[in-house]
Amino acid sequence: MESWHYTVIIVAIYAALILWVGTGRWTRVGRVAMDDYFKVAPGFGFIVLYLGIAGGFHTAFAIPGSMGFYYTHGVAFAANVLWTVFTPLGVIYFIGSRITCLGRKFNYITPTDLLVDYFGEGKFRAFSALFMLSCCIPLMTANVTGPARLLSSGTEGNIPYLGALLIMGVMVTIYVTSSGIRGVTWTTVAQAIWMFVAVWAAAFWCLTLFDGGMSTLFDAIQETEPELLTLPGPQGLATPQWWATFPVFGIALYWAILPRGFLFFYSARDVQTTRKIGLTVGFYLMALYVPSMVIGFTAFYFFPGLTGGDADNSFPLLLATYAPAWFAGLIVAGGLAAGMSSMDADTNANSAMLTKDVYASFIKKDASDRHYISVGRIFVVILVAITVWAAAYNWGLVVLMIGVTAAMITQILPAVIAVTVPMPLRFTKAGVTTGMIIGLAASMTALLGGQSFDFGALQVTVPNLLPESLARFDAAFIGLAVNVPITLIVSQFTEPPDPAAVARIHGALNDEFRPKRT
Amino acid sequence: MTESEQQNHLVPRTLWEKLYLGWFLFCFFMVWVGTWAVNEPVAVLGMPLVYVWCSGWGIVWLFGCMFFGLKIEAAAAAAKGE
Repeated sequence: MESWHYTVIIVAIYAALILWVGTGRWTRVGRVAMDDYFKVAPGFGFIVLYLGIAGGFHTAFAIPGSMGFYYTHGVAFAANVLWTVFTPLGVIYFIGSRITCLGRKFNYITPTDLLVDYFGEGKFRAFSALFMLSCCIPLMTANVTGPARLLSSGTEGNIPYLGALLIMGVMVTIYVTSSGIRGVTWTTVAQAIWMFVAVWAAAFWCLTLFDGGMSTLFDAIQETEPELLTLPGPQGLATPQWWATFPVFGIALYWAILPRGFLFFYSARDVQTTRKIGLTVGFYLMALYVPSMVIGFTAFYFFPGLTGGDADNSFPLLLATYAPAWFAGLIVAGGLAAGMSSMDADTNANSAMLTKDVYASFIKKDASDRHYISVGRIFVVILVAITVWAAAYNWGLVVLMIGVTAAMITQILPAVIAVTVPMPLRFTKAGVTTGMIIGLAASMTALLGGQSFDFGALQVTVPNLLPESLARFDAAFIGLAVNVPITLIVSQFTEPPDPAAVARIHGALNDEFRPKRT
Repeated sequence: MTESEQQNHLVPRTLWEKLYLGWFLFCFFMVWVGTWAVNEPVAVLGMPLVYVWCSGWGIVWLFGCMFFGLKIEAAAAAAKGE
């Protein structure tokens, strides 16, 4: 047997395991209902949802993206501590638990359900759903490119890049259409464990390539590229402005309020489950990225001088060159786990929004839940097809696409906080809608300004409208800095939400989070 | 519910909630701002100082907030008479 055959065997074992876990009898439910397909009506307990959120929140950025980041920008990646700790202790603990509270009390299925229950129905539902959906397509596309490259490299090109994309797409389609969020969550439990073992195993394997371990690696980097050991890094990325805005606004604040996050929070057994996950899941999230430094620096030591996409591919190159084939298979499967664990959750959440917020609200009302679930399954197939097609088109915009998602999703934060955190400030539908649109325009200006895009016959250069001093801040931060004051100002002069709805929602939050002492 | 009756959930109410917020902000600033004070190419146990500083404060941040958060949970359960 050739060495790449071993990689294929390990990946086939991984695929069989995931399909078994994602379609087994534990994913079956007797009821045919949207609230028990897109989310779990009875709710998951702590351990399953902990690993579901832990794995589901990781994207291809975990493997191999984080290693490529260390390779290119060095310890600037230590900024990951800010988001892997801020998100659970700040956003999941404080906001996520409130989303669980309202989701369970009022049986919300989609993120939009929560917003329209407070601000009112109408075109706002379609606007919110399509806004969030358009945020997620770039992220889904970016998520599958890294693992597909990893699989292709790990099999020495015998599985082509497109073939790798199709394998991931078919697997996700099978278990998401079969079992909805139950399949998503149970497979993510297995994927969370696999990717954790894979990353740590890879780091220890890297250390075996040196005599003397960590100290030898540090000395080697200090001799060849000492700028990798301090901020702002060799490319000058981690400026004070970047460090002050990217980890919090570019990642931490948007990570947990992606649509997939809402579906996980709605699927918690109770508020205490979400709060306990918020208090503890940071240990997993942070520990997953700790070994990335060793791997990224090892790849730099053996293959210095790579840039762009080649730098992101440095870890797969290291594996293909030095690792035993069976071990490379273990890591490749870990990469697939990282990409698929978020792709499936995104697909389920987006399918839920298209089904409930668009199809059931505007196209065919009053159909049975069985019909809507069938439609949801069709949307899953369409969404996966779009993701695979977009990822196959090599437009070199992967990092930019993640930035687009972050900048867009962050703009819904004022609306989410308005609903979930009672406070003496006025928020209206017109206010949050205006804030989202203008905040999005500002963030896109910051993100895309000065960039050139080549679409074959059409070449576009986006004008840079922001001064150089502002352009160094993260685009999501720029958007939010415009969004919040606009939201508050417009809300002062526009029609407030229905007082009965506000009182009902705030009453539920007061009962849970501000109970009267007995 | 009138606006004057509306509770402000942004403001911590109990001692444990205040300690949680205080610890959260303290550790956050140690990573966010403090890192610039240790931005030197120095090895600690073979690892870059910036990396050790950020990861170390991250762990302290997690353990501290988990401790205060569990105290908040216990106090909330007691308040509900559970």
